Amino acid sequence: MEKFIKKIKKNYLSYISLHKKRPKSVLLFAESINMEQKEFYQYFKNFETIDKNIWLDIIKITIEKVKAESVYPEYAVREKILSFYFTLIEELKTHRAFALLSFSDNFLGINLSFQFLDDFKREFNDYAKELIEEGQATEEIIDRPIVSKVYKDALWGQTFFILRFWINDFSKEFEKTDAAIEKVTNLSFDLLGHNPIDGAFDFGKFLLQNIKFPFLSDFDFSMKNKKEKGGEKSTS
Amino acid sequence: MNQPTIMAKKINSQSSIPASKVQRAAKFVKTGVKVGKNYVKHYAKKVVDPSISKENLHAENAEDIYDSLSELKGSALKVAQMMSMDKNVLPQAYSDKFQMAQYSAPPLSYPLVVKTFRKAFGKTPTDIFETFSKDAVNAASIGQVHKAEKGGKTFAVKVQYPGVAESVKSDLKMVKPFAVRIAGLNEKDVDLYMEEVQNMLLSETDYKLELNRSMDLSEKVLKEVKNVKFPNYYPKYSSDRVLTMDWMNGSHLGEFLNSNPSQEIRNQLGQALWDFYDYQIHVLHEVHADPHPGNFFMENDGILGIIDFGCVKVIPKVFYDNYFVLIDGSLLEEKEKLRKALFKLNFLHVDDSESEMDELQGVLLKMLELLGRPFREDEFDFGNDDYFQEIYDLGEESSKVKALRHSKKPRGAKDGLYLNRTYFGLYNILNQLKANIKTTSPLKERQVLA
Ligand SMILES: Nc1ncnc2c1ncn2[C@@H]1O[C@H](COP(=O)(O)OP(=O)(O)O)[C@@H](O)[C@H]1O
Ligand SMILES: [Mg+2]
Repeated sequence: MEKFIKKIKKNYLSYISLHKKRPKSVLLFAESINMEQKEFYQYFKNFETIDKNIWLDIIKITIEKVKAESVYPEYAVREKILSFYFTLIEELKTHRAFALLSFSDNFLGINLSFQFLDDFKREFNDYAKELIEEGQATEEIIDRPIVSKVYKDALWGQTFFILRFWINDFSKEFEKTDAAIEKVTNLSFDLLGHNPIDGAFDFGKFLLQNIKFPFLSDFDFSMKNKKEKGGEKSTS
Repeated sequence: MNQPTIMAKKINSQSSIPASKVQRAAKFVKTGVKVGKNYVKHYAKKVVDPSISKENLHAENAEDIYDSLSELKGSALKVAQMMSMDKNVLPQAYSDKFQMAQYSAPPLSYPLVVKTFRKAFGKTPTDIFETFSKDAVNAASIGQVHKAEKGGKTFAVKVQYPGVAESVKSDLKMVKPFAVRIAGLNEKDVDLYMEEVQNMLLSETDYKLELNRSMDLSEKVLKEVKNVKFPNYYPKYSSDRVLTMDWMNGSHLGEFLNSNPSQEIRNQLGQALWDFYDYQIHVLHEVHADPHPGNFFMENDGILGIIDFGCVKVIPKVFYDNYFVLIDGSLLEEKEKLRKALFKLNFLHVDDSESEMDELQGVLLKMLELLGRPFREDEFDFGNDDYFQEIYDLGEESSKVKALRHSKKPRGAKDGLYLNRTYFGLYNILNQLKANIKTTSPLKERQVLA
């Protein structure tokens, strides 16, 4: 069974990297890999479920690789998450066409909820929870009643920001994304700790220089529904 | 330096924290953008506002402009400073502040250093070295320096920030309107300088090029110049964004002077520095164009350690001839020949009026006499503060010269930008060293043709 799932995903990915679009239909796709349509449906409901599953694979592999690094245990939480992002981008690079396709559907308005990231996000949240707990134990992250609850969302917002930045990044070897990762992570960890201004200024300047990235001008950091946000108490 | 891993400080008060961390992040990002925009606006207003006359602007708001501009950091500042410097030709703008012109960025995280290493060598820093400092030991202008050890040797490993080359370009675009106004030049002329600056800055982002130039120039210089030393460079551990060399002992100028070195040692170091530049400029026609104190290591044995061939100016032959004809002084008495050279160097233009030309030539003559003075004597005491006072005074004076101040045209060749800067830096260090220099130069032996 595992073998078939692998085969489907592998062929699906190579189809996309070759054609920059999804196969026309499940039927045609199944045929092209010598598989019964019926068989395909045993493993996946449709192409969207493959998408979700591939995104889940990507983050799983990322976390596995990051944790396998020998310096990982020595890292502070900030460095752990940085290392996670850099590794994530490395993983994604090999599936750039697939990632662009996932996001472009959403940009075209076909599916604005970024559902393909559902499982990815769940996996990330588990990892984030682990990191936040560690950070609070070492006091790298300050434990604050009420606020601490949303740390996880903030980290997810930042992850989503990085993903979209990378999608829009056409710089040499995605160097801009590397810079964005550093700046946004420094900013958020400054916010979890003390003086937020250094990170904010540095990040602000960076945004100014990259204002051509179309989504930056009106980027919603939280990626949450408006009504959900309104429910929270805000002192700002 | 920022310590990325320490988050000890308590936040002021619980109540000032917006309930939603997410909103807070978003808010600060917006603030950051606003802060950035404000500086740009503030500065633009200062320059554009007609109620602030250009004279006042120059005299009274120079400080302000510097402050605002320094918020833009990096190449923006460098360009503005170079432009205003060249317009007044004298090192008036050259002060301690010039040396502060640096990209300001928080240190690179260790995970990014690891990533950069993986990309370049397929290995992590600790795979390659026995020890490797997780935090940078020194900031470089567009990167940072780590200390590493292996086989009993100590290394300096310079790692570049990501995306610098692109941000150089966008910085320069951002600063162009300001540069145009600061120097009061038209855009086309500014482009000429900008291109030179951009090329130089971009070449500084290529550590492979720096590696090759470092090895090439240091080898050539070592053969001819006494009392200098260079680190060995390691191509195996270098890439376009990583540069590995021997760790250099010794201290930089300020700290070195605090140890009260003898006159003899100061002379020896100053002489080494002079000879180093003299040989490159007059023989190699290729010069380390960044005489920043951070690039020299001084020890009590009077040996000068030299690093950082990131900024190298290649001096075109034609420019060289016209430039040194002036410095040499042989033309100072010959008005017509001098004028010809000034045309070639872009100081004078055909559409200048006769009176403008006379005024300009008058100032330039004074400058040339002054700045070229060390070349015309066998020995020169750079510790003589009166001499430097004279330079600054003339700088002041020249900034009041109408033909110079109201000039809409650039005065000076683009190739002069970095050479002037090099000499200003050199003079400045020699002055601080209070060194007595034998200024014998190849120039004196060769017959300069006008
Ligand atoms: N080989 C070295 N040994 C010791 N310190 C070094 C070495 N290389 C660089 N540094 C330190 O790092 C600083 C920045 O390095 P440098 O190569 O001059 O960078 P930049 O090109 O940005 O000026 C230097 O001023 C010096 O203090
Ligand atoms: Mg330097």
